[in-house]
This record gives sequence, structure tokens and C-alpha cells, in this order.
Amino acid sequence: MNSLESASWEGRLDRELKALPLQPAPPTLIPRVMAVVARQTGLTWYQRPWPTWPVGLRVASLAGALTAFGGLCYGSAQPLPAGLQAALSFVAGKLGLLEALGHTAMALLAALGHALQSLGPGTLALGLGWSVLCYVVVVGLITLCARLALTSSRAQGKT
Amino acid sequence: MGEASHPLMTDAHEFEAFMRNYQDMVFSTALRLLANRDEAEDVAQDVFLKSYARFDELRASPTAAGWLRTVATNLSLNHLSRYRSRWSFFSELTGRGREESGETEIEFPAEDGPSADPVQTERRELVEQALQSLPAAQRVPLVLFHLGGMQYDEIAAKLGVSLGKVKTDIFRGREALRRKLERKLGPAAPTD
Repeated sequence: MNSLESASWEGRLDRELKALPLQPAPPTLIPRVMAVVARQTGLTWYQRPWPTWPVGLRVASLAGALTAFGGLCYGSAQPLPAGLQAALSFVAGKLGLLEALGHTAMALLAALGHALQSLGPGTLALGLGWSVLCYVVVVGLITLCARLALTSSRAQGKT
Repeated sequence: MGEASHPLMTDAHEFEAFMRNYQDMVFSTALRLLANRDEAEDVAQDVFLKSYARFDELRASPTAAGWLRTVATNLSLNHLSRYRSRWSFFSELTGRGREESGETEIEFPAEDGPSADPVQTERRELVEQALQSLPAAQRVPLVLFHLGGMQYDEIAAKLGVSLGKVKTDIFRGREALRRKLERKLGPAAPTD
């Protein structure tokens, strides 16, 4: 198709598409929306989305959030009180128990690494190939099931 | 905006009338992008719920229709990118077979009214069905260009793809539409 034909078709198609009438909305649309609206109206202010709160509460909550944020920023820049420092030290001491768990995990990983090295590259490649094959088979089966399900649901929709 | 005039306090009948005025436009906008009536209804519901939160501004606004159309377009595109991508692998497979066989899932109710020309009505239904049967990659930019009034670069920015891809997809979409319509209406279709 040459460019003149293409431009002509583009213009004709544009007119055809713009002349399409609006599709009537399903009769269930308005009842659905009104049901949600009725549910929202029945909720108390704090159960509704923030933009729908009364103006005074929106202003107050925004001011409160800003104050809290400012306080956190200011507080984080200040030296910690002695009591809080002691509490944090206590917690850090308890967390030291986690260090032993970390060492155990590292030892297990090292043992796994030695085991894999002793298997050799051929065995590892075979294992990897087997894993890929299993993955492909699973994806293939899911695809087949999805196609069958979609085909049957479409066939049911037509009957 | 005082508490007394808050949208939640407004008359439900007024909002219902507002929806009646715009529901076909919102639904059509979503349907032409999504090509699925159930999903289009879900999107239309979300659009009207968003409009309800701003009903005080929209009820007398001359730009309400434009606002609703923009929100419907954006929500439809979000819907396509969010929900379709995870199923694209499967839907591409089934969609291809549907396109080859020329069948479509969309069924449009007949236009009522005694003045409707049956030939013209049938023709428009065929155009609409052909449009809906296009793959999303071609249909969406085509709809945004011809019905949304957007330029190529705006569509590319909106869809997050290159300008070249938008031009190619729209060209392919037009050609696919031409083939479909020629098959159904004859080689002369569509006429001026």
C-alpha cells in the first residue's frame, strides 16, 4: 500500500471510529456504585479514606503528622539520655545470642559448598539441567491447563 | 469546603443523575481500551467512586466529562498493565487463535430507537467488533490516537514505549482493521 492510500485509509478510519456511538453501560453499573457509596456513607470518618475526612480533621491530622515527623527529626539529632543508652546496651547484649546462630549458619553454608565442590561440575550441570527441565514441564502444564480452562469457559459463555 | 457540603452528605439522587449522564461515555472509554465488558464495568465503577469523592467540584464543572474520560483512560491503562501482564503469556496464546479464526467475545446490544438506520447500525457494530478484536498492543494506541485525540509522542509517554513502537503498532492496527473490515464488508469498505 502506498503512502497516499495509507493516508486516505487513515482519514476514513478516523471518521469511522469517531462516528461510533457510545456503548450503553450495563444496567448493573449504577446500583453497584450506589451500593458502595451507601456503604462508605455508613462508615465513621476514621474508617473512610483520608481525602473524605471533614476538613477540620484533615487539617488537624496533617498538623499532627507534621509535628510528629519534625519531633522525630529533631530527636534523632540529639544525644541519647543515659537511661535510654543503658536500655539499648541491654538489648544489644541480648542480640549477641544471634551471633552464635550466625556462626552456625555460616558453618552449614561452608559444608554445603564443600559438598557441591566434591560432586564435580558434571554432576552439577546434570542437576541444573534436570531443574530446568522440571521448570519447563511445570510451565508447560500450567499453560496447557490455562488454555483448556479459558477455552472451555469461552465455550460455556457462548452456549 | 465545609463539612455540611461534603460529598458524603450530598443527595444520592443528584449523584445518580450525574452517573446517568456520563455512564455510557465512561463505560465506552474503558471498553474500547480493555475489550472486556466485565473489566470495563469494574473500571467504570472505580471512575465513579473517584468522582464521588470530588462530586462537589464536578457536579457543576463544565470539564467534568473530560475529567471522567481522563480518569477512565488512566484507570484502564493501569488495569491493563497491572492485571494483564501476569496473564499475557496465556492470553497471547488464546488471543492469537481467536484472531486467526476471526471470532470475538464481545457482543454488543443492538442500538435502539426508531430512527436508527439498520445498515449503518450493523456497519458500526462490525467496526466496533473489529476494533475490539485487535490485540491490546495495537488496539490501545489506536484508540488513544483516534478516539482519545492524543498525539504519537503523548501516547508513547503514556504507555512508556518508544515513539517508533507507537507508530508501528498504530499502523499495524489500522492495517489489521482494514483487512477485518474488508473481509466482512467487502473491499470497498469502509466508505466515506
